[in-house]
Amino acid sequence: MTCEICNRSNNNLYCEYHDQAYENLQKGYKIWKHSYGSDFTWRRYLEKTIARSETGEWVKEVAKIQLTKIKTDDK
Amino acid sequence: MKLLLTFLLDNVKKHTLIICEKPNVAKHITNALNGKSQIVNIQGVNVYYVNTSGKEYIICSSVGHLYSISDPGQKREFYPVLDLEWYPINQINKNKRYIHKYIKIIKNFSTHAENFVNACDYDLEGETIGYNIIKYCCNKDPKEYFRAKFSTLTSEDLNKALSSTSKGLTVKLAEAGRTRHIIDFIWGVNISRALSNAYKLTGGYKTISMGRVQGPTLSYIIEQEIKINSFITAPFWNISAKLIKNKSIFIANFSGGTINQKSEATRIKKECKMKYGKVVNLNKTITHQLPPNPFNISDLQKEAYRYFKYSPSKTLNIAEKLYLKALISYPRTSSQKLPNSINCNKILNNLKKINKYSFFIQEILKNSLTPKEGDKHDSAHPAIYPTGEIQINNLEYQEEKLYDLIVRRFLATFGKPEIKEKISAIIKINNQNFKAFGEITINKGWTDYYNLYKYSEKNNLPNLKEGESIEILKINSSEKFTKSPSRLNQNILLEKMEKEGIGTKSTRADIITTLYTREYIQNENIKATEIGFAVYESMKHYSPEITSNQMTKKIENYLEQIESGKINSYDVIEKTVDHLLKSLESLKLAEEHIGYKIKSANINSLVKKITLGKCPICKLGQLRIIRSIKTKKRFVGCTNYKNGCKTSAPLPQKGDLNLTSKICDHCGWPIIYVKLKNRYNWKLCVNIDCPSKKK
Repeated sequence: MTCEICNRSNNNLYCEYHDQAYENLQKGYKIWKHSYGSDFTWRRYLEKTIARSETGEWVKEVAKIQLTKIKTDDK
Repeated sequence: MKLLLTFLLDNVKKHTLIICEKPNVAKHITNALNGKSQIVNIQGVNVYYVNTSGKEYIICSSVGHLYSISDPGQKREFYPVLDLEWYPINQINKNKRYIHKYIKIIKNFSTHAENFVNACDYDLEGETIGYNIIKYCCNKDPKEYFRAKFSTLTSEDLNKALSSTSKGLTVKLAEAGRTRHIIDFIWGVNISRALSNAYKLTGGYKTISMGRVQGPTLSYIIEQEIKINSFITAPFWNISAKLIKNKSIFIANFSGGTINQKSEATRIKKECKMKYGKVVNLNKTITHQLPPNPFNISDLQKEAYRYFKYSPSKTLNIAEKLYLKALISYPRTSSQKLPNSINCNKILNNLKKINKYSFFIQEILKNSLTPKEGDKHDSAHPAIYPTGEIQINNLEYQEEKLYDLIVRRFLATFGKPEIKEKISAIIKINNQNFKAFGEITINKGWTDYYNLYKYSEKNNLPNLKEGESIEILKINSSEKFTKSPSRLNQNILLEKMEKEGIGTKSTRADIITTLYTREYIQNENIKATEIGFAVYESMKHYSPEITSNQMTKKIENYLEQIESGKINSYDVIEKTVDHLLKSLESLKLAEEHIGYKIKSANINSLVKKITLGKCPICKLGQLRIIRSIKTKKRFVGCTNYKNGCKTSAPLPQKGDLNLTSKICDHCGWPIIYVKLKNRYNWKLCVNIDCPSKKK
């Protein structure tokens, strides 16, 4: 099996780096929700993190995939 | 000239043969001996003859190492290589055929020599260079040579060194140096061959190197890259008050620190919307900032990077040039000490003749001369200091800058502490406290000599009094985001290597350069490349020892023990080989996997180098730089051409093309930078029909 993003071989959907990035992305949501209030949505969070220059490249890559999934689900 | 050479070879006997590391040093030693001297140029190599007080000297120079380790088989694809020998470098490296001349000359003049003096740089490398020349070129027992130890190339120092030579004491140092070469070669050549062979299995060829210092250095960079790439930022808010007193505006920050909730920030800002605040506390403290330590090579490299953006290897090169011009002491030192023996008084009095330093030196000489020193000590050399030679008119621009930095740092070590008054004020606005800071310099002290190279933050506060009201101009709440870990630059990396004890003061800069050359890393703010990642991951998985600093630290420790005679070289090499063989076994089993992994990274990085971005016409393909097979000219074309996209554009045929992620505002095509050697660079939209070009 290879990582959906970078083609590194692995046993999960993502490689170890993108897996770690996804975990950080999820942890980050709790922090952002605390900062902006409980009505701060996952979608808004993904859009904001992708737009920030501080966000790591791997996190952005995972976030983009998550956002695409949400957009597809919305349709 | 031929007659003189024949005369010297036939008639000069029972002379002392002095061997120097570099041609310039031979010249300085000849001048220092201050006798009747002759110079003979043999095939472009200068040899000096000096007759002084009835003693005859021949001074020959080397050009760094004349001998190096290699394997007798010399078959590039074969490993493990464990049977090693020292060879003349001209037999190993075709680009260094000229080394043959140096060996032949020294050999000729060694035949009738009575005494041998190793006058190479006094450090691990210098000792090894001299030892090998005397052993292999002169065919003498290295224990019998005399050692001249000096830290500057001034006549005074050289004379002192030549009149107090000692025999045999530094052989252990040479043994440690030779062992380092052997260990580095064993690790480097075997692991690199294993990786290169693995790559070859994929049908390609690429030099992939890895060594016991390269490994941990690359791993620091990759670990940082991982932190940066998986970083998630978090929002926070800062609240500040813009205040005014007597037309002087100053800022006070909310004393509760950063705020993590937007609602909380809004509440505090609202609460503080007042006309006036009150100074509730005023604190003044006097601080003394001591002068800096004198430079050792790492500190000099850091400071030169900070102020001039010189890479560590560049700084080392420039410093060596200054040393060879006898302007500074030996730069490859880790010492932060300036011992009395260097006679600072005399140096300062000489430097006083240079106008820009004379005023400061007059000030320094008014007091007793006790330089500030650091803890680091180097048994071979003191800290870097200017020798007091003042022939600085012919220095190149960069040499001049580095020399000035070294002189000012030297002066600063004699300075008095910088005295500052630091003021902190707490201003209460409604129920919230805000803090303002300021400082006033009372005595510049050493910073006066070093002011060009010292960061100073001007932070002034108006004259505040406890209890007084201060007018508030504005309360500001700003949303900020935590910053990602910063990229390492060469300076920080060098600092890290030093702190972790990997590499030596002389080799660290070269190791970083090798990582760039192999394309494992790129950019000034270092970014690990895909190839870097592939090599690191392979090593971490199959030969984890080489990416960890534990092994290399252990070896450094062994080398120190060899130097002090506690263990012998053979035992250390044997231990190293045991570890190496295990690693090689593991690499061999996975070589196909490793080869394809690195190759795929290499292809990706090559593709990235020529990909400009999405085709603005078909929106499906990528625009790439392509070279025509017929005309050999480069142009831009779309990868989707097989499906009918005919997007293409010509490119300048000269200069380097640097890709950017920028898109032209007028037409949406990619923008590139064209760099011509020694000429200006320009920005170019690759679309030949771009509206901006028709204006």
